[in-house]
Amino acid sequence: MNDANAKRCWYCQADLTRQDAPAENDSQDWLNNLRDNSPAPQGDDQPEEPANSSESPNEEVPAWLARIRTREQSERAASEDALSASSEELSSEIPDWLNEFNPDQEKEKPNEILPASASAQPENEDDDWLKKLESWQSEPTSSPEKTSTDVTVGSREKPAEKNPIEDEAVTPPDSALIKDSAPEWLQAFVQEPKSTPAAQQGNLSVQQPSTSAFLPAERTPKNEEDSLLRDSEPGQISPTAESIESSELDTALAPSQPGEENETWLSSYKKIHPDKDIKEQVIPAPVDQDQTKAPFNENSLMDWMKPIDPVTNPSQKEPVPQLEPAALPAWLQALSLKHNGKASAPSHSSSDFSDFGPLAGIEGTLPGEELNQFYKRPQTFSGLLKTTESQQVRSKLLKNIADQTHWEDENLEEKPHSHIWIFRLIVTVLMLAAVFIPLLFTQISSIAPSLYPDEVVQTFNTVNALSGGKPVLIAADFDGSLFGELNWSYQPLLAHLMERNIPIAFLSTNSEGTTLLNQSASTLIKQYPAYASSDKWMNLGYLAGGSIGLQGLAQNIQTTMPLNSALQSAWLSKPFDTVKRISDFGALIVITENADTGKYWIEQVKPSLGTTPMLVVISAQSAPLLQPYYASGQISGYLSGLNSAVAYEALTKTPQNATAHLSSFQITMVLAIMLVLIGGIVSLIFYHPQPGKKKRVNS
Amino acid sequence: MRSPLIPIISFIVGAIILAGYFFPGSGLAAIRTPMLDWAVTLSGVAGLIAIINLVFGVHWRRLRDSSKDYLFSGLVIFAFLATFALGIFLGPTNPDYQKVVTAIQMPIEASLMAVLAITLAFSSLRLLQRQHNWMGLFFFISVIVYLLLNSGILSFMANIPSLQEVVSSISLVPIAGARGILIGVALGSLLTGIRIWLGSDRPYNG
Repeated sequence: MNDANAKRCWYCQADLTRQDAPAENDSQDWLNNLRDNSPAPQGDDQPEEPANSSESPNEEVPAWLARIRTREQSERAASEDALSASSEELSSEIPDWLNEFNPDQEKEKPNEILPASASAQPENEDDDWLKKLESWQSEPTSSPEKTSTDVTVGSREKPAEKNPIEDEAVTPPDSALIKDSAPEWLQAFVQEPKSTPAAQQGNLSVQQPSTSAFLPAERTPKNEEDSLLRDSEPGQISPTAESIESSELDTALAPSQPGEENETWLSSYKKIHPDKDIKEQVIPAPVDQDQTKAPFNENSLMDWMKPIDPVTNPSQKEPVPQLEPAALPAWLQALSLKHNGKASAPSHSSSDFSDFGPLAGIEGTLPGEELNQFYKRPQTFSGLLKTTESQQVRSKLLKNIADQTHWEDENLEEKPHSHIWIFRLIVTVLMLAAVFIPLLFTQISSIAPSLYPDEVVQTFNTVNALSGGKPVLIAADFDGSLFGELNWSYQPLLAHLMERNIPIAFLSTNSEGTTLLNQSASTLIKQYPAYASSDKWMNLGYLAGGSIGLQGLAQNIQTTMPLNSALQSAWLSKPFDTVKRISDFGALIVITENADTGKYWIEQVKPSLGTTPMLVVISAQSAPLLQPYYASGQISGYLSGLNSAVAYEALTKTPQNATAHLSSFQITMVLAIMLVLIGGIVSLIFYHPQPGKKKRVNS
Repeated sequence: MRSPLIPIISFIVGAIILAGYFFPGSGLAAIRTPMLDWAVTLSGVAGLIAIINLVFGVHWRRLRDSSKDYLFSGLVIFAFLATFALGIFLGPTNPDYQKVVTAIQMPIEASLMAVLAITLAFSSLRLLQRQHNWMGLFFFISVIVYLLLNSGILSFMANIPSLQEVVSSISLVPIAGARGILIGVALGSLLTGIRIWLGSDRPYNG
């Protein structure tokens, strides 16, 4: 009950101040009637208004709705009598403010309007709706099942005998009729007769066929209870009243006809029990999520609103696209513990890995540079470092960057200049003095060898045993580096051959050997003019191929060397026309400073010589490597160095350059010995280990 | 994957050459000789190509790119072209043309060898300082002894029979060392040749 001075209704927040005096009187009248059971309220307009208002609603209410209401009224009228006695008892117990909502009082005073609603003034918009509701209840109907003694809050105004809510018919409307007349969207809310028996039985659970169609399948009847529709506890109200109340609620909330759906919202209001806490009754309880009713009944849903069931609708089933498993790079997989070293499926994207190079097939690597484009010919392995143009460009860039960078050791003092060059200069001067002074001062004699080496003697004997008609082949495989030593070594042998008037043919496996030999023989040719012509002295030129050329020479010399240096046929003119094979020569003399060259001649050519002797003139540094061949008999003799030349000159008794330079050679050798000896002794006495070596010893 | 064609060809050719060497009476000489001639011709052509690559591939690129010491590369190219042209016109046996070798190349090589001799002589002073161990000492002693023997100043010792035998024995030591070196080189050459013949080593990028 609102306070007299209240401006707004405490319940519905309706404005109470705008009411006119007659309206206020009217509202007060119907309220007073509810409290004191007063006689008929004042305000003759009120009955007229419902009638008047009934006229307009009657015009607006469709026929199907009117039929629904008539049925409800008839059902309620039957139950009113049974509840009248119980209502009197409750009225004595119920507080005064609650008696306002006594439906029995409403019966006697149909003009009374419930306090929760707006005032009953016809001019007031808040009361109009209530009066309209009263007018709608034009025909009293009996409803033995659904009659309530308690008036729900917000219930509409009833006629004198009935509660509008109670007048609502319980019987389900004719669904067929409703479907035919109702629009399509409303037909889905039409309740089937099968769903209403539960409501007719006074079940507390509210079954709204219209709403149950939208409920999910898993909802149970209990869960479908609406919190607003929860009935009071059985103990508070008489069983009969409760049953009636619940039945009224069920019928009210079970719109059997579409027309009744508009009125069910009124019946959804809770009844307020005076014994309970008003806050609990007014403030709705929190709705359990699980018990929340679905707003739509699944059975009455249109096809397009129904959820897609993959089981029932196989045609609508779409395969769920399965995501491809993520592929980690190989290097990350190896580090990841979760993968346990299992490699994931490789991705098929070409940009993830390269198809060439040392990292081919490994995911997550940057594509390298194709090196095949830079190598267009077969690679040759050499000691030189080969770089591509791109590598050179990058090295230049790196160098420029490094030059711009400040290094820490730039400010360091440079190391002090060493004075080793002085010692080098001294050694150089001494060496040159030892070479030139004996040449300038011929009075300085040398120590001649008393015994001749065996190899020198064999060489001499071999040359002496050569026949005069057979030519000798000389292989001049030396270069200019040791030309000085070899020139002094082979000149006595060459002179010996010229003295015996033996034809000489010479060739070389390098480009300068024949030229140097030809130059050194020019002085001897002056002594022996017969060798000035080509019939004694033939230059065969350059033999290509190295050791392969020697093999070819050994197989067929005429095919391998058909022409001489003058591009003339070498084997047609005498005395070389008798040479068909290499073994036809009187001897083979190899002049070389390299032991390997001598080995090639011995290994490749010697087997084809047969009985033809092979002589070698070699430098002193390579002589030990050829001594085994002499000891094995593969070569008949050899001359090594200046000492052998001096001995050969002594044997031929023709002293030449070797004998003249022996003193210089011996003095230089003594000087070298002295330098090594002195340096070694000084090093032994004054030993100062280097810092690097000292650390190594300590470590 | 490398092509197996080249190793197969090298194997067949090597087998023919070896068989012709070990069996001279067989008809393989008729095959071996032309093949050797082809090899000689190819080696000559390869030498010519190497020279052209050196001149126009290396020095010409340095001259074109103006890299470091590009002037020397230009001098090399000029000297080559001049020598080549003179050889074509004068001939290799021309005494004036041969002065290119006798007056330029030979003195340069001889000078480098002389510098080597001086350097070795100076290095011998610091021999024991660098190798202050037993091996260095033995090397020091051996250098002294063989320099004395090869110098000839101890030739008077040959007249003394006891000393002559000592000197002869000492002279045989290098021969023994050389035999060991030659045996090792021969075995290594044999093994390398077999590996190349069988295709284990492919220096020809086959």
